Amino acid sequence: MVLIEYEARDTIIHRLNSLSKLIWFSGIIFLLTLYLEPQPLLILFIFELFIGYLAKIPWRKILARAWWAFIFSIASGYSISLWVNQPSQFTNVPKEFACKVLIQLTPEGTPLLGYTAITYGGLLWGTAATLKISIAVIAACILSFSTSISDIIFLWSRFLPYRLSFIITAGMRFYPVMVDKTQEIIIAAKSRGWEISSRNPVKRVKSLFPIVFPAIREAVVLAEKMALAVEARAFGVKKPTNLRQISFTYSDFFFILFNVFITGILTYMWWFYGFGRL
Amino acid sequence: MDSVDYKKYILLSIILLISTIFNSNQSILSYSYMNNNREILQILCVDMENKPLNKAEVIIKDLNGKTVYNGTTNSTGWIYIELPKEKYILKILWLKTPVYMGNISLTKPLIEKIQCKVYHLTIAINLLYIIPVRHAKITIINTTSKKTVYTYIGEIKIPYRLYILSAEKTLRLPAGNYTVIVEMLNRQSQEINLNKSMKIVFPYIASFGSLFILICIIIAVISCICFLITGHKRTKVIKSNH
Repeated sequence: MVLIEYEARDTIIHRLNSLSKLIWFSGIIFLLTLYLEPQPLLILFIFELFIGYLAKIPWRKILARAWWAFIFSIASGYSISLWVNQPSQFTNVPKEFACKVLIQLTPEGTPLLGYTAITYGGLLWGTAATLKISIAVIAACILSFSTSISDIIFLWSRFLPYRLSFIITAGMRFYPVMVDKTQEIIIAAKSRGWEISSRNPVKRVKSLFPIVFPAIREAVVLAEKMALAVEARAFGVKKPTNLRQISFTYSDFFFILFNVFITGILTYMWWFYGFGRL
Repeated sequence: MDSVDYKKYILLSIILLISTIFNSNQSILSYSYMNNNREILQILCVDMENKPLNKAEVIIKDLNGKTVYNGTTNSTGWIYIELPKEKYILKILWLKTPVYMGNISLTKPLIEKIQCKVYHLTIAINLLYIIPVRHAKITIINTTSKKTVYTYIGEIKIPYRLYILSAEKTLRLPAGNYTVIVEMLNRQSQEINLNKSMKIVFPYIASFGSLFILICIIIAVISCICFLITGHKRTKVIKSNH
């Protein structure tokens, strides 16, 4: 699922080949898995904003479409942080500082919840979790905004087994088609007086049948047509020929070099200096 | 119940009361009897930051100069001694340097908190102020006596800070003039007059790790600049073609 669609623009980031952008994206995701503390995530965030600025990304559009992801990241991050209050959870941050309780919510031995409290360590963890989700969402948006799906598919076809690549491609390509078809079905059903008014959950589920069944039918028809087309092109007989080549420019080379070294430095600092450990 | 029973109970109560009073005072009475000429002296040694000095050497002499006690403080900075009631000269040494000297008069149980002239010296070792150096050899020489007061070889911790990464080693030294030498791939020294707690930074000490990071940062910055230049050049070419 893409939050923001590809737009063909003439920016430095758009002109990079898809492999360079994928390396940047992989580097960001790799670093996000390492960190539990906000300092390095702030560096990553600034770095991402810089890339987004170069790609001339529509920030307002991202906010309008991905607001729920940011709200979810804040709510989930700070909720789970209530359980981050034990000294054993901290290795780098001084335990006496990290476990300092600001507000105790439930005492030890509370059924189901256990001991929950707002602590400095918990707040650090919550901020890091929020930042991690936000950075991942923005990075995905930058990638999908600056790289066409056909470019991503072409990359997959180079590295993945071609059958698997075809499955992923088909899934991605037909997701917007299916969304459009479902919208059409909903509009058609509404024109016939269909609506969900009942508050009874069973009735609500039942009222979805006029949408779900035609949608499944459409999907099956689409799959059948596609299977026929694929068979007509002799898919599976032998490995398909690639019609495109990945071309590297100096710009791509320097962008990859920059990303590899930034990822390397931050990983080294995490490993040896404990930078980003809680 | 007749009067004989009452008398029995009253007598029993009096005996119990007397025995309780006697028991409660027994330890005090016996202590006073046994130590009527001696008193307990408790000393807490702290540095100028009010942190306890553990393993500080405490020497107590009588007024004739005869050493009556020589020992070290425990892990919480305390010593407990029992001495005859008298006047004494108290001397405290830290790293074999006198950090306190004074008189005490022991006429009753005495608890003294003594602030010794020991200051905190924080040595930060960062290449170009930003890249921490995790391993180094630190030598501290007393400039006056020319004696090495402290040597450390090993890992230097990077304490958690919200805004900076810095490899730091905090030492507690008696007030005085020192030469601090830090060695890794190269060597740097600084002369200090330690009369308050202070932090000194060694910004030009290099280790393999810090050099590796520095080289990586330089390559990353150069490649970023090159990426921007080559990318913009290409934009101009494309725009001029249009």
